[in-house]
Amino acid sequence: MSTKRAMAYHYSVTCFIYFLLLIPLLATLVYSLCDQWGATILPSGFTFKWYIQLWTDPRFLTALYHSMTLAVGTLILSAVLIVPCVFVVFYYYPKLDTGLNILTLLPFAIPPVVSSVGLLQLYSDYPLLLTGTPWILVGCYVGIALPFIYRAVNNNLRALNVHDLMDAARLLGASSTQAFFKLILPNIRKGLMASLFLSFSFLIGEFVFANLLAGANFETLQVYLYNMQQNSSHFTSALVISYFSITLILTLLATRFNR
Amino acid sequence: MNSVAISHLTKRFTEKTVFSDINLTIQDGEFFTLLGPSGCGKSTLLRCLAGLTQVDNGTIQLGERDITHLAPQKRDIGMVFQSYALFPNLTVRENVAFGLRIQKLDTKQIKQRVDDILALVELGEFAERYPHSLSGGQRQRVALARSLVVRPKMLLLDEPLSALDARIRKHLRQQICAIQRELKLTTVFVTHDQEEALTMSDRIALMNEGKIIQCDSPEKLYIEPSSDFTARFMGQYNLLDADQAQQLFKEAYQGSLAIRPESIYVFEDNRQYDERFSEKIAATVKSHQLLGSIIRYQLIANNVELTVDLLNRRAERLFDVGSELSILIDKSAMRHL
Repeated sequence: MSTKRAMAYHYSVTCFIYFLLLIPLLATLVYSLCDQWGATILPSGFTFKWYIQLWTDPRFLTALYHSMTLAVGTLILSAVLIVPCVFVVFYYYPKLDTGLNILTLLPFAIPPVVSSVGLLQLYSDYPLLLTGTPWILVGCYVGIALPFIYRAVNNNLRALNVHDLMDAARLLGASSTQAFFKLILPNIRKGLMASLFLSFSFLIGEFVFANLLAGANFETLQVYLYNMQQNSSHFTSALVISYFSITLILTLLATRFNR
Repeated sequence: MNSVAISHLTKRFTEKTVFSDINLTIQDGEFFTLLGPSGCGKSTLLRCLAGLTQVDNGTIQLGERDITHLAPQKRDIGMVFQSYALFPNLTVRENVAFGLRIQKLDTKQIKQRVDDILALVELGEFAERYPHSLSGGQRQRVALARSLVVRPKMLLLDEPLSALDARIRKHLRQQICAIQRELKLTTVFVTHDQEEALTMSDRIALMNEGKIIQCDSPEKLYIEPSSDFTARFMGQYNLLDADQAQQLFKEAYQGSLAIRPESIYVFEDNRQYDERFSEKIAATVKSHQLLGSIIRYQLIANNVELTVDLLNRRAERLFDVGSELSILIDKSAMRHL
């Protein structure tokens, strides 16, 4: 009896926390579906017109396209650059791991507002005139993805008996490269994918760098959202819900693929 | 012919010499064991044979070939690790086929050879399983099959039984020996367990602190230790210095003596003892342990403590602590060191 009551208690606490966390999202959802909700207690009516207005705005579609290509491109580049690097440090130069560890803390240690000032200084003049182009964002975002990917890959490698696996593979005739692609990569895949999704949702929501480094020249979703503030708040609510749904669907799809 | 000749082999790590000037010859088809306490350099020597560790000096020859500086991929050497080192993302079949896939053999041939070798290690029915679903003994048999399937010229075993529990260890020990003899494969086995070394090997090199102390057949190593280290490591030898020997036998001795615990007998009235045996010596039982087929006694005889092993034949032969008895020592089995 008591366990049943305890279970009911745990259950209700969990539900309550879920509900609490969902309130802002639900409120935004309801608001985005309202025609008018200003001077009255209840909204004047429900409508999809904000969504239609949003999804027919070419500027929104361009921003969505920008955000997607930017995030996906960055993540591909990050994976190609960072995974071999972490492996090489782990396997061949374990002493360098301390340095790499400190390096991965930098994106968190330095506030984006500060580092973007530095980046602006460095990349606003020849020969590295990159400000206002998507390329500066790609470079900057690789730095943001670095800690996530480094952590995940490094932990996975630690859990794996890398040295013996590599030795065994080499004695069976495989080159180090073959061993990496056939044995190490498949075994760290899950952790790597998880870190890529995490980075993806982080990068899709990134605003400070996108606004300061590229701004209106290369409008991303977050910058678009910011620029639409003067618009009706029903419209921006529809934008937030659309943005959230896109991220959710992509993450769910990716998780399913990864299984 | 796949004999191995190691000459003047030396390995240093930055601050420490692991071993220096190692000279060994291993016969074709021989089961050769490197035995020693941990840190004696036996595993490093094995890794040098495999090419996983670079040597600083000396040469290794396998058959006609000098393999000292050859990459591990090109040595035709198979190796089994203490940690199994199975590839967790591959099934048993894929694990075993890995080496053949790298050689780019055709699929039919690979399947045939994998099936054959899995049958040899009695794992045919586990071919489609993943390593994590197998027991330790099964995993080590997969690792063995994986290294044998590429038909290496030499097999290296790096403490392959240490991670297994006692019963499985004994079984796998016999299985490894049987397979090794069937394939007549030159094998180097590394272990710190003298019992394992004695039961499995054709020849044993006992190592300590980077040196080979004694290299002999198991029988010779056990019965004729050439140093007190060998005597101590191989069994429960009673090691007596000159003073203790004199005290025990009441006659002058030069140098130290090694007496095997099973070469000390308890005097029985109705038995004849020939001149091999020493005079009767009075002794007191200090303690005893039952080891199964053997009862091990610690006796005090003429103020010298001796370990004596007696076969556990009859319950009435059990001597209690404090009981007085007479012992005889088989002098022909004593070793002067």
